[in-house]
Amino acid sequence: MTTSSQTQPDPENSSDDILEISYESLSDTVAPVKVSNGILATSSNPIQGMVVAEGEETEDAQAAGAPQFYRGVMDGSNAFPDDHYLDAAVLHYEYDRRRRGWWETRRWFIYTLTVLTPLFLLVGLVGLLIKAGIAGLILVGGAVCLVLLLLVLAYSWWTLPRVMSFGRVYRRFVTVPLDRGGVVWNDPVKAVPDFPALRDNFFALYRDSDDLGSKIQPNDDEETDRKKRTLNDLNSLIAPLKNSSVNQSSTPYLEASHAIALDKLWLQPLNTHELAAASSRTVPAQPLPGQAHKLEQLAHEVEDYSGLDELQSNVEPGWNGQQPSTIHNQIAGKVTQNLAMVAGELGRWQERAEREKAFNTGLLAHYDEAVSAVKQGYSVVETALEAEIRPAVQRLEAETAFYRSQVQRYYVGQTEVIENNRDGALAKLEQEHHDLDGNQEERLDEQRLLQAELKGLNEQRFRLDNSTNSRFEGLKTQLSELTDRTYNLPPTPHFRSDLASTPMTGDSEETLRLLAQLRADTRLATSAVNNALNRYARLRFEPLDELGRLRQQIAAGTKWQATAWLGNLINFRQSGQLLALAGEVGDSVGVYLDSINEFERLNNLWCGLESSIRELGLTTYNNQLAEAQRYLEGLEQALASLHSSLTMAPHSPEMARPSTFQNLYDLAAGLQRELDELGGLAGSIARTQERLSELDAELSQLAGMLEENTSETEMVRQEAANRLADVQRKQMSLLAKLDELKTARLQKIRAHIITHNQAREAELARLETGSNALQELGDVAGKILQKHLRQSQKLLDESNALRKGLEETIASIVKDFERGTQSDRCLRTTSEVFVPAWYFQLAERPVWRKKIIGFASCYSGIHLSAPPVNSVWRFALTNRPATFYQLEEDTALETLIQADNMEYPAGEVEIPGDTPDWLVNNSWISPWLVKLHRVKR
Amino acid sequence: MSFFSPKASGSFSADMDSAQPDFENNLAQFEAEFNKFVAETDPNFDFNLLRYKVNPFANEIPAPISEVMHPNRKAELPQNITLSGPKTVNSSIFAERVILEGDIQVKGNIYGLKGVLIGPNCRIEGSVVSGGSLQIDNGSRVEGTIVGEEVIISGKVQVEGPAISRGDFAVQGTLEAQDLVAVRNISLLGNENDYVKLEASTLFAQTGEIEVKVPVKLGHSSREADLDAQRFYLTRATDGTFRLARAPSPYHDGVRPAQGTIITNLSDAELEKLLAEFTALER
Repeated sequence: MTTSSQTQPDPENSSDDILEISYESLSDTVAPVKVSNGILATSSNPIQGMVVAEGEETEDAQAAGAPQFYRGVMDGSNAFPDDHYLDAAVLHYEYDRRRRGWWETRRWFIYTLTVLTPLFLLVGLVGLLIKAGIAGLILVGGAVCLVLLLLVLAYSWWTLPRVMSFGRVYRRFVTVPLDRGGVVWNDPVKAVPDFPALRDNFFALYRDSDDLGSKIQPNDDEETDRKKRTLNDLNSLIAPLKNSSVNQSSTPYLEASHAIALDKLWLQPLNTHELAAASSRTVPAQPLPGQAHKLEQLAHEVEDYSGLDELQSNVEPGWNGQQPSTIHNQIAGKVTQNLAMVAGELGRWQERAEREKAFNTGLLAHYDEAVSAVKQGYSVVETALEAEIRPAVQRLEAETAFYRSQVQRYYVGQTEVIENNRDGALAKLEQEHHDLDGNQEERLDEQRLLQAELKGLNEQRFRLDNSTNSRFEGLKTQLSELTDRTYNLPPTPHFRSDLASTPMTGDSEETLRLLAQLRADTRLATSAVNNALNRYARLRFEPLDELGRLRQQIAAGTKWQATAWLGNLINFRQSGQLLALAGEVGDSVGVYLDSINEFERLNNLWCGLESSIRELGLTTYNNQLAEAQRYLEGLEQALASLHSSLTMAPHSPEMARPSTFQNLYDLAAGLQRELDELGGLAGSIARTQERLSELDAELSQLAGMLEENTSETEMVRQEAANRLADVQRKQMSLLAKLDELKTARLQKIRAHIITHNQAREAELARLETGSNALQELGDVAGKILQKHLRQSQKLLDESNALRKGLEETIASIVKDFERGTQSDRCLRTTSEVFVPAWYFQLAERPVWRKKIIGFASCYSGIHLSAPPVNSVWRFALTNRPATFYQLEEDTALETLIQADNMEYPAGEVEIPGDTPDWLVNNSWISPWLVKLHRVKR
Repeated sequence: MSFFSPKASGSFSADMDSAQPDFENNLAQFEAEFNKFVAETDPNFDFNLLRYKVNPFANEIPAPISEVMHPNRKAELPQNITLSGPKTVNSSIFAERVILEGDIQVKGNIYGLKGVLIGPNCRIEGSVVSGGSLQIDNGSRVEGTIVGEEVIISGKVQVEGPAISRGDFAVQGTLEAQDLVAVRNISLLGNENDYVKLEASTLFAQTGEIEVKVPVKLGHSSREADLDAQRFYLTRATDGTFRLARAPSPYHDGVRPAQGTIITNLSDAELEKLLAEFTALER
């Protein structure tokens, strides 16, 4: 053990006194204490004069003192009069590093643009002066470069890093000096495990389990007692462990290799105020009160335990990779062995349970054998009984089959007979039906033929009827035309004296001669008329009257009534007389007509003559004229007489033509012939109609017969079907009865076997209860054993788990302790050390987007270098540092204090405003850097 | 040996309809009934068709095999078998009641529909199953299972299989068996030299009680059961779980009211209590 004790304070003094001295010494020159390479220094004197010395008295004195408090100090930090200057130096150092990174990426743009802009402008101006063509273009380029330069400068300024927060924090550690072997470092953040309790439990486990394993011997005691004892032992074994929770958390010991990083720091004793200030800035927060003491106790406990281990095993303790046969390993092995014995015991229980289960299964198998024996007995008896009744059943079967076949045979025969009868009757009826059908067909053909004939006859009669009617009408017309006068005679002229006003002549001679001629002509005419009257009077009108009578007779009746007269008309013999009569009458009419004309002429002549006589005044001639008038009036009378004669007598001019008569004959003859024909036709029609009515009667008779035939066929069929159904029903009924009787008989025969089977089923069902009882017995036994087994296994598992946890916990504590021990370093008392770290928070814009960067750093030294000439150009145009000192960053320290995970305050920069000026004045940093930092903030 | 041995007891059935039963080719009634029905149904039926000729060779009954110890005919069904020794029977016995009067060796199983009585010094090389009571007397030995409605053992009896009673089980003497189970009560009585020895570790009365006056030896080690400590009343829940208790359980909630009794060396109450305590401790 080495001790730097040049100005070792008196142990009787309070730590305040020591710290007071230290504090005072800080003001003029830094007087920290460095713990390095086994040197313990507690002096406040200049650092480089530490003296190494050994002395038991010092140790003792130190050990008696209270725990001390130290603060880690960087090498070279004594150059600063106050912590704040150091903080400012650290801040500006880190800021300058960031600034140079920022400047490195941007400066070449600025350099290039700064050079190009005036160059272009200058060349452009010269070009303007010499009136070069591209001067304008170059000037524009210069202007663009100028604009770009301004933009780049603005961007660079905008992206300049800015410090958002900065400060110093402390991390606390505890050192515990050991009785031998040096010192161990602890992290007070971690809880102190209850090592004594763990160790006691472990020993108790050893002790109890040793007791547990030794007594268990098979078959030396009753099984239940053994079980009970085993369970009790297991329970008492784990009972104390159950309440003490096995702490699986890691131990508070720092590994020695990690704690080595602390040697780079100087230790400065702290007075109360400094301690308070450092504590307030410590992260994480304050440890529990008395934890240092607990750590000290733990360390000494483990030290003792390791020493025991060392004694037991004679193996060098440590963490050299070799697995030592440590005491806890030995104990753990013994406990494992003992618990394995318990596991073996449980295995025997398991075997017992299996055996019991197999035994119970065997019991059930035995029982099942007995049950199957019973079943077999029943089946043997059943077989015998079946054999006994077999002949009877066979006979019953045979007899039933015989009856069945006989019944079927009988009824099949019956059915055949009925069907044959039916078929015969039906065939006969069908034949009749066929014949009737033929007859009916024949009659129908004839009827159709006659109906067609009748139709023709009727048509013919209709035609003849029309023809005779027209002929009859024509005959009547012709006859009436022939017998009636069909023309008009002009009326008889009358004498008139006023016809001619103009005189015939002026000559009396002439007048006289004309008078004479008038008289002569009048007499001639009168005589002609009289002759005609005479002839007419001699005419005989009998044939005409006869014809007229015929006409009247014919016209009076129908054509059928006229037939009687048609013969007279045809045989009319006086047509010659009629012709002569007609000639005479024609002559008379001719005479009448001539005479009328003559009378007209003569009358005119008379009138002319009269006027001539009156003119001439020949009164003498008046007599003659009167005479002539009388003659004329005589003529007039004769004419009137003729006219009346002609008018009175019926006659026609047609009678004068022979063809008229011929026509008349033809008409009459045709009419007579056609009427004869019509009469014959009527006879034919009457005969045809009579035949047709006969045929109708025959057909209706045939239809009736057919209907009768059909109904008879249906009746035969129905009757046969009824009889067949009856036969079928009887057969079915007999067979059903046969089956019923057979079943009943069979049941009667088998009754005792059925009863026997029922008894068997009931017996087997009852035997099932025995099986259930056996199964339940096995179930109960199995469950009892399983319960013991399960419980014991659970206890054993729990014991094993607890043992394992205890062992691992103790082993890890011891191992960490051994790793944390540093034999060549010594602190006199249990101490708490505050290790400083600086935290930064910066806002940067690497390209554009803003990023907040936060980190903490640890430093182990600061060294001033020769300051260069203070030049703004050096600061602005080069990338050299603007701080004229070196900070030694220490990653091992950062790892130790877990700077990555540290939570530090943020939000302000904890530096008084004038401290950078001190740094500038003492040539630590460039004033431009301070200005830049201030401006940017 | 015929079933109708000189010792065979019982009488011919008096309730037969006629001297010739149906299954002895006596189908006259059947024929008459059918003919009558035919005559009623169809009076015109030709009855000559229904004259059936019996085949005289179809009625032969095979000759009985010797030594049949089970009923072969209907008439033999309700009969008992009583045998007296010394005698050896080489087949199984099946009858309404089986009575072995003593000194008989049976090389097969015995089944009595209504009861089995095995007299002294018999040896059964099979199982004995009784549909009713089963009594086995002193000196007898059964090599299989015994099952009965009511089992009575008197004297010293050895059973190599399980002894099961569907009702009560009474032992008056000494019984050695593989196991003993009764659905109802078990009573084990005898004098000071008697005992009950079971190969099984348990003696089980499914729904009854066990009355013990003689030592009971259980398990392979034949350790005598401590009746104070190892006799339990069994209460079962409907889900199949059960509870062992020293006294009949007064609780019936969710538990079957019928309580069985069990004597077992698999467990005792102290152990159960201990286990219960462990369970409570774990919680």
